Amino acid sequence: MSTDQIDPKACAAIREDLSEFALRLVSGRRRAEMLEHLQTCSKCSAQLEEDVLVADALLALAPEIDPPLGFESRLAKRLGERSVSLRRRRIRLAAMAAAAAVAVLFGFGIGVIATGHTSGGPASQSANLTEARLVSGGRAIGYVYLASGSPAWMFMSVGDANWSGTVWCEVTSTSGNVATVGRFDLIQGHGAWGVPLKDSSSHVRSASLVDAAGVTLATARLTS
Amino acid sequence: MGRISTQSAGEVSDEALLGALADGDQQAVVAFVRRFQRRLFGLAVTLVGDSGIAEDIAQEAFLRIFRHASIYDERRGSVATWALTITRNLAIDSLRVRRAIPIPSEDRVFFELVSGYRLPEEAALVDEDARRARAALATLPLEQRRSVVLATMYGRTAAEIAELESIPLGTAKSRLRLGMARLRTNMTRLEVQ
Repeated sequence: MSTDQIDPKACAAIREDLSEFALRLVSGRRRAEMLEHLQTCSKCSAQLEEDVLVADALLALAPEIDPPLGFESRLAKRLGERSVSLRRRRIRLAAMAAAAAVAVLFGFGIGVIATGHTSGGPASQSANLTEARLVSGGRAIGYVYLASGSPAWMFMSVGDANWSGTVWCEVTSTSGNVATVGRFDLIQGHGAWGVPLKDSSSHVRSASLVDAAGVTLATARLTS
Repeated sequence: MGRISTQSAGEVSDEALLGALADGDQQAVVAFVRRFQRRLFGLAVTLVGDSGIAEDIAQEAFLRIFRHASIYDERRGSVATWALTITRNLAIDSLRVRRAIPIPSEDRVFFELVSGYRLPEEAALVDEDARRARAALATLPLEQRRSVVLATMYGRTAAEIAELESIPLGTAKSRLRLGMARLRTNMTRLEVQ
């Protein structure tokens, strides 16, 4: 839907809450409703951009306060722990990438190797990869990769989400059809997953993560 | 870029420091933390009102900055703004879970921002971004200024502002909306000057 087709009353209702939205003060169903509107309304999106800029500029007013004694050493300790955890994750993702490469070369099911599910399908040897950021509230929380071929494959890697638990993946086609293509679990904001697609990868306009209540948590735009 | 030495760290720009950090320069990590820890902790403690939780938030913000240093996009704002935005988002998420609301009416920062008065020990600190933001804020009518400060610096929703100020929700929403709109105009004007 273009902005011209949007009911001005809908825009007025959205703008009532736009400043709060820019400050991340809107949550739950209302946030989902606003996200849905903002995805299709360029005027409200532009207004949001401006509110975000103002909100960010006001951050310069934050007072400077000394953190408690030992702040740096405790941070260094956490940094060390995180490095180990990140190394483990990188190894896992590297293993997934290696598995995908092996599958591409030998025609094995990537789904089996990467996710433990048995919904496999051979990957194309001439896979062409499209990459898009998975964005939640203006923040990148991971990536979606679309590999063309027969069948096409979609991979999702989430590394910085604020939620845990089961999430559903919805794909919106260029014709506007929405289909749920699977689900996976996020553990402490992290998770990775892959699935073969019925349609060609060129038919995929966007991919979204949705929670159990149907609220859109994050979206990646794969074609304009 | 070359490694950051302890001696040179103070002279390096925020962007160069972040670049060195993305390259895994450990000296840059130390320099970055020392440069920003007071601001990140200051914002976090202002938002959540609890020193222990604020420390946790500031540390998590640093970890995310280190992790994402390589994808920082300077077109989206300065390094300081980026770092503070990450901190604010984490603090807001924390507030959303806890929702304990210390009333900031006696808070020194709240008093300064709303009144426009600066305590002598703070007045000497000159930061161009802060000066511009403070000047833009000072142009707002008092009611709008209070609503904007409560929402931006203390993470209060319009419903909470309505409760704090004993005003209808619609009034709180319109004060915040009009205040942000006027700030947009005034900040642009101050940038031009």
